[in-house]
Amino acid sequence: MNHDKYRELIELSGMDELNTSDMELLKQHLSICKECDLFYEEEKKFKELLICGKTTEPSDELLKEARLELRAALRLERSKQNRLQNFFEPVKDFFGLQYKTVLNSAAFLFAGIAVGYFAFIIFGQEASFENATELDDFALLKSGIQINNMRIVKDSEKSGEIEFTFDAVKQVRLSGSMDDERIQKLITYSILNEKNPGVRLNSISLISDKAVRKVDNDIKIALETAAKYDENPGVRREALLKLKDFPFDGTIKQTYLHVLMNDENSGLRIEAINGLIEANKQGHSFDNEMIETLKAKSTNDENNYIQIKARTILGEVY
Amino acid sequence: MLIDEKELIQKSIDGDAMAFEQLVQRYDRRVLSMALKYLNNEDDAKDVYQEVFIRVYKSLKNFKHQSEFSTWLYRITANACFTYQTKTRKRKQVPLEPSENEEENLLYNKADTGTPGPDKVYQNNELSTEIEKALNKLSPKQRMIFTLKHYEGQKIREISDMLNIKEGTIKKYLFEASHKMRVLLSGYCN
Repeated sequence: MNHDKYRELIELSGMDELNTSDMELLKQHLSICKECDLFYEEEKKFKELLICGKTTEPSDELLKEARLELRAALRLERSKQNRLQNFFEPVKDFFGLQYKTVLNSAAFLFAGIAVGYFAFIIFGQEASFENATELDDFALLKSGIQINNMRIVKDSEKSGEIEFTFDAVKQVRLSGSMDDERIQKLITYSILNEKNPGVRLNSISLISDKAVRKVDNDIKIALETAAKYDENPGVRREALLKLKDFPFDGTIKQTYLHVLMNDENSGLRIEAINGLIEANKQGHSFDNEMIETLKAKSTNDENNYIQIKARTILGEVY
Repeated sequence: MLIDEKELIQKSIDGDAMAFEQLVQRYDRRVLSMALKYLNNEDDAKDVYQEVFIRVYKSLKNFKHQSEFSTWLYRITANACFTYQTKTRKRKQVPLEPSENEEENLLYNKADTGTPGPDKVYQNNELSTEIEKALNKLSPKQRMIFTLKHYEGQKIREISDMLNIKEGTIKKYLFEASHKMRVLLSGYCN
């Protein structure tokens, strides 16, 4: 009797991979073979053991952190792509211009001017949008919404119907203190998603030393993400400095180590090593991971100051 | 209303960041879970998660819908896990296989201690650690396939599509991995 074949079937049944006919075959064999029946029981125990011993599922918190970091990394990726595109666009234009493209562009330009002209006539020559009585029932315009990126979708000469698409942007003013959840969410969003680095920088500056105690973990994660991945060194530095106001913990340690190991800006690496030194002064001893990083930095960092600092710390530790 | 996946993919290719975010959020828990179970370290899992979606972002335009998007995504995840582990092992200089003594000690300790004590939590924690150690002794492919089958509940056919390996070979890897795991966890099996 070929027991190996049945053992395979037993294993497959434990994995829920047996079809009905094989299952039937196995059942028949188990009823007459004690050896395989014993193996079948062991297989069941083994399966139970695997289930009760390993249940690592990612927590919501971990998923949230991963998403925040991914957003920042994607923004960096998009800005890289835009820079590349901007670089190659003139070259592409130079080599790739064809008369059809030129004609198409001219037609679009003409259509744009024509629409602008008609819109001007329709909405009143001297009137601004707010004064135009024709637009009084146009709620969007009345409520002070800014219109950008207008495009013509349809311009039918026969019916005279014109269709547009546009972005309607409304400015919203929000005030509140740092313990206001909405304010915190906006700051987090701005640190991670705002395109303008100046705005990202200002958003970080809004978190005062006193406010640190009031903010939730999302802002801390956003600062850690910005310190590690923001493409602008000014923003990375501001985020790194702001993290010094937070109580030192494992994720802040990881941020310092990440910057120390990966940031191309030596000023930021110095800030990171200083952050570790400060944490040590506050009573957090250097663990193995920190010591390994410092060992690497003591020999391979291109900046002499960082090498010396790392050696000094290692000298004090040993 | 749930937007069609093809539409989300197309919008993402056209540069719609929100569409890409929606696409990510449909599958990202599973990606993180795969990475966490394979690497057993939250920071490493987050690194792989990020690498996977950056790769997806960059190469989505090359996705030809010849397989399910999820299959393509999990294949990228599996490859990213393999690469990450190789890189990390090189960096940390952790030996790929345990020394003979280590293995002997592990087996000896398990045989010696037998079933752990009555405290269930302690027992499960200890068991988790031992399972993790045993998983670490499998080859990268055995480990990935074993994890996908036993902890992610994937079908052999799905794993085959995902890793682009024949079903028969997947079964072979699974049998070998199960055999090794049984030996390494023999103290607990009884």
